[in-house]
Amino acid sequence: MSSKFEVKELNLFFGEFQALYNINLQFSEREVFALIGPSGCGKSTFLKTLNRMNDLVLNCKITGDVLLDGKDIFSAIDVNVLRKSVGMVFQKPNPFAMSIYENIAFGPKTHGVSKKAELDEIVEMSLSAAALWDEVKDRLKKSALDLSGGQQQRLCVARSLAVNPEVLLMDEPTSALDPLSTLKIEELICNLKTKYTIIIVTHNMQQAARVSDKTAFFLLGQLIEADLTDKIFSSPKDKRTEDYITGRFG
Amino acid sequence: MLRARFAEQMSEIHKALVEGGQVIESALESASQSISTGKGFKKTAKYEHKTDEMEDNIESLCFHLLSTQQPVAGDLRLISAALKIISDMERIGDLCRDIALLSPEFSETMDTSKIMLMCKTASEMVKLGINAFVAADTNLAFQAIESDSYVDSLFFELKNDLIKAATEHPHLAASAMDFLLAAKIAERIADHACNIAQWVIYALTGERRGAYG
Repeated sequence: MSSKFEVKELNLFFGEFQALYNINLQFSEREVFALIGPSGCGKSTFLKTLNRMNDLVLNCKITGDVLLDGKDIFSAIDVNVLRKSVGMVFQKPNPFAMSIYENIAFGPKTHGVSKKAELDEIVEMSLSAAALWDEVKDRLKKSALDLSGGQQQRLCVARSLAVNPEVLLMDEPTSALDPLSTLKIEELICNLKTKYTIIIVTHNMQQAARVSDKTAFFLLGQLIEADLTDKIFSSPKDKRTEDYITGRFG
Repeated sequence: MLRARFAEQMSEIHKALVEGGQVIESALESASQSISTGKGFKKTAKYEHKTDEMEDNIESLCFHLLSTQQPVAGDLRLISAALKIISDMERIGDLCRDIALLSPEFSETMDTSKIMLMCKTASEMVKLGINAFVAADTNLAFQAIESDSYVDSLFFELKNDLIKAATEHPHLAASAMDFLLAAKIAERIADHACNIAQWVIYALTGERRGAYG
């Protein structure tokens, strides 16, 4: 598999505080990569760096390289183009206060799609890919806010897919969901990886083990270990990884 | 410490396996005595019962931890290995009883030194495997694995001895058959002891037997 994202010697500072230390990681195409670690370890900060969400943070300084398909995301790619290619789903579902249809059509419209037939097709394809179409196809004009939490989160996934991204970033996408909705999202992740690269931050160790191909363990802003998920959860190399995943600290 | 109760239950498994090793050593000693005296079936059968009980207890504890604690990494390896090890121990218990059951049929003229040595070596293999587990020392487990081929060679020597004895003294043929059966059982015990050592290596390092041949 070829490399989709490549991170080289990444350091990130918030003012005087260094949040990430010399991170080197590669993400291949069509794989699910889980980022785990205790609260405050830098995993979400790292995730947000991949589509430049940290640009909005005051006094944030980044050194090192982040390459998407070999191009530097800070200098060689326009941020709007980057965020079209690298979608993001957050911890709490955040549908827009508009109809289900408009939630999905919003992104494509922003990127210049205006024909109704084309938008209809994108809406159906995106909702189908997010395993939501059958549940909402008869009420597309209803408010997205009336959906359940699990449906709202799948709507957010569909909204990301509507602009035809290559990478999906997920920041604890199931932490606000009930167990059944969580399983649906996990199933969705496994299906989506046939087309997309997915990088997921999760506090749920079993979820990382269930859905990901590779896992990276972060601690105090450092990347401690990254390997195949099977390897991390059966025989991690670093004792700190073992202690964290077995619940000895965290 | 986080998960103190879990850590306590994991140490219970550890302790139970060490105790299991001791019971197996006693069962093998009892089987050896029965080879030399033709007596001791009841005593050996008691150890066999004990290994059955231990298997039930360890399995219950492991299943409980698997279903409630979602163990990973070293914890998962230990629990998985414990389930395999206790199964081998239980089989060794059965096989010791089988030797004790056969031993009254042995002719007094049979040379028991080789089969006794097979049982002694198998017992040492179990001991090495358990010591490897306690000391977290894979070298001891590898020593146990290496001894298996020695037991195999003793079995083939003994088989040839018995064929010769049965050919030269046809009236000993029936006893020689029982003796050969017991020797094969002792050889199987060493195989199970070898399995135990291999699962100890897995628990300690994550390496399956394919990784070291």
